[in-house]
Amino acid sequence: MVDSDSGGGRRKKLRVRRRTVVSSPEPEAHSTVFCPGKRRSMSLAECAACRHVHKVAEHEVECSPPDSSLANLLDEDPRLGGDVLTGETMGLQAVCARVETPAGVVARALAREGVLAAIIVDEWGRYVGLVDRPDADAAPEQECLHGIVRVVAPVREGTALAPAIARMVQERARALPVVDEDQRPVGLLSDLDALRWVRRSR
Amino acid sequence: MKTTTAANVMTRGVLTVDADWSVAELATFLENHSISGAPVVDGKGALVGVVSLNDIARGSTLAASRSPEAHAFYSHGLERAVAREETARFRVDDSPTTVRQIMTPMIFSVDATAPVQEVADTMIRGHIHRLFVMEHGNMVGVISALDLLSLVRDT
Repeated sequence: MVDSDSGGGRRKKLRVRRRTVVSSPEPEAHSTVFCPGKRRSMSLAECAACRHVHKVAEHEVECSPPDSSLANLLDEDPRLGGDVLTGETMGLQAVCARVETPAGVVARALAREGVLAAIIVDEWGRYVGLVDRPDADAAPEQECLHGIVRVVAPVREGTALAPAIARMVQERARALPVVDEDQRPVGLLSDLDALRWVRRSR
Repeated sequence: MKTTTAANVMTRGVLTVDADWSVAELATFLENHSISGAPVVDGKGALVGVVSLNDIARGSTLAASRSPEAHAFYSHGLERAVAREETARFRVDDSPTTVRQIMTPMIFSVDATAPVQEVADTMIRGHIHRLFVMEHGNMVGVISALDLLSLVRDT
């Protein structure tokens, strides 16, 4: 746990997200926080080094972002429109895998983490596509994910939520992959994640 | 202003299967309609559960021993098209097993008159992406989180 005195404005609580990578022999878990001030996800170590951060715990970060930051929308009167960012709204868990990963390994990880789809990445960790849980479940003995990867255009974490919702509805997509500026996955936005925010805001 | 209810947003005409069908009849039905599962009704038309291709695959296990998590219907829906080869590999032709024996008797539902806000809260609280809509004890439709999000997009 990191505790620092930043002074500054009102404290905000940011949720820590966990991304599990299942391609390596042992699953690797990466914890990140979406910084509404910088409009991007960052590691807990980078977050802890920020002068606005008071406390970094396992599930939550407390900070006092500058007043001009979008974090002001987190605790009061959040709205849709252009105000809420996809990165703030995406789910707390995500599963990533390389296409060479056995389908059964992915299916078990998805069941364990309770997420709708796995985010498939290339050897450089860049986004390739999604594998839906029913497709992974239906191919438990398949030695890789070839043939069940679905190409879905990702959304950027620093872009507004409203267009992402419009896309989900138009494409009947229950989940959209969320990526950073380098096309690396940072999370998954599900229909329930979006709905949760809408309910908070109305 | 008139409140929008589940009935205003739901999808009607949901295909159902009979609890007393054999697994072979179920497999043929799913294949013919290109769906991966369906809600299950009893002889009186009452909703008693949900069943999917994965349940056929797991047919030898007892319903009581299944995972406590919600059935795939409530997270993914059952529209995934099923190929003939997929059902063929289960070899269910001579099976005496019925749909009732392999289905998941888990029903998450809302009343047709429920305001959409209440429907959304039910989904969020239960981590459920879709719900059955009931009217006078009968299932009259299905409503999904995407259906609710379409209201946001349209306003």
